[in-house]
Amino acid sequence: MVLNNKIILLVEDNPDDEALTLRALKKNNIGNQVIVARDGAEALDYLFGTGQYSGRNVNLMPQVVLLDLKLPKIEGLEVLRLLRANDVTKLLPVVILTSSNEERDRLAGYELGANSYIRKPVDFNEFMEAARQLGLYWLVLNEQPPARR
Amino acid sequence: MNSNAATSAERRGAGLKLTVGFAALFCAAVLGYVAGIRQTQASTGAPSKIYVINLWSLHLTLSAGALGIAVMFVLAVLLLVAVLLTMLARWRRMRAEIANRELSTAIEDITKLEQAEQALQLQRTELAQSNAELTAANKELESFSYSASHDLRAPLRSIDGFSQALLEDYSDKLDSTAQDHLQRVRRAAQRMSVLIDEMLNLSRVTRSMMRRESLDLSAMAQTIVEEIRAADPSRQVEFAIEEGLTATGDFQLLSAAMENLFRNSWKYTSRHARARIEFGKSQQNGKHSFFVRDDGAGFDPRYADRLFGAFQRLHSTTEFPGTGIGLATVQRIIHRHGGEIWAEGAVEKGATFYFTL
Repeated sequence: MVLNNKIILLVEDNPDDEALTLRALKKNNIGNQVIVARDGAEALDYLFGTGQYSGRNVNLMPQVVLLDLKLPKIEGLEVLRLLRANDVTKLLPVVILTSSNEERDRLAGYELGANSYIRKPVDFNEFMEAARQLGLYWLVLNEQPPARR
Repeated sequence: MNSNAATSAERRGAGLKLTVGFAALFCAAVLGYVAGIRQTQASTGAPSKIYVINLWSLHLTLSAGALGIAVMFVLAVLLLVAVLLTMLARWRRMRAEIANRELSTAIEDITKLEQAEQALQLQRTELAQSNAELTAANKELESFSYSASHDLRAPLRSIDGFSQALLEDYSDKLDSTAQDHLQRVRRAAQRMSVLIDEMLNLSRVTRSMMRRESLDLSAMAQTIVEEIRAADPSRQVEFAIEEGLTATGDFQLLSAAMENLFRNSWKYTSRHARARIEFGKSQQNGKHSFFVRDDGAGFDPRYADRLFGAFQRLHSTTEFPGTGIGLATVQRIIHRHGGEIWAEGAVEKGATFYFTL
């Protein structure tokens, strides 16, 4: 599969963080196809093809979802819970990418079925490195779960 | 007292009866004797000796005597009964008094007990209230620090990130001064991030629940040392960890404290080509204490009291990086365990940190 066809869904409400994440991904030649959802509802709309994304081909699932926790409308952990509750998105790789390093968030994230938990570093160089490794891992190394029929 | 009066009256009555009885006896005896004498005189016509006892007078005397004795006996019995009744009455009265006294003492005790219980109940209620208030305050503080740390980091990320973006994308348009400015901006943002983390840590240390258990400090030290060494294997540092040191305390907190002390030693010996860091126990001021010692940069003992202040440092950031929170955190942890911590040192002669638990 060509890297270019792989989609990353970035769920992030902070425009600065959005810009920086996109920048970091781009600098590492990752994510020509990064879809940005700015709140939990928008993320769900995209994944299930509802609301503003109705009519989208829902067979085309993102390779990975980068999920922030603090989101307006529907919180990140709630989004995760809903994804895991639905057969279509149950196996979708979700990486929690957040400022919080609080134990309860980590615990809740893993308990709800997140595949990974990454803390956004303040130092941008570290952030770049994190993005690079994320991209390499989830888009190249990691095998996608088979599509459910 | 009434009983006494009654008794003496009864006694007098009894005595009177006795006297009457004796008198009767005496009279009977005399009468009998006289009658006897007359009888004897009448029957023999001759003067009889005064001590002649004829049958009839004897019979009379004996009867009188018997009667007298009987009377005396009855009187004695009556007297005895009177005395017994008096004693019984007295005894009953005494018992009643004692019972009365006991009852009033008991009533007093019960009242005092009730009062004490009420006071205790009041104190319990107050304690529960203040407990609830403290727990609520703690929770608020926790959620405040959680949001504060989380929300404070996001803007820092922007500051650092976009400064870096400027440096990267516009490097040809920025001269070295401009680039320096941006680097300072970046460093400041990163430092603030570290400060936030450490402040959060410090407040968490004070608030967290402590779980006391038996700990092997030597093993703990060993683990910490290995971690530190693994991060920078090129350094020549000799570690001397005394075996078999144990203590009771919270594992998380004490690990954090020891790690802090060891990392400090590691940091302040970084300017020396070779270093030696020790961990052991000793007797100080008659107390058993543990210590972490290094032979690094040390500190000026005149400023020793600033060592444990939050954000206070005895070296500049350019000499040795740091925020000045580490030792404040260690001190808090040690104090929570009821122990003390103090330090000895000299400039360029190393430092020793002693602590008790």
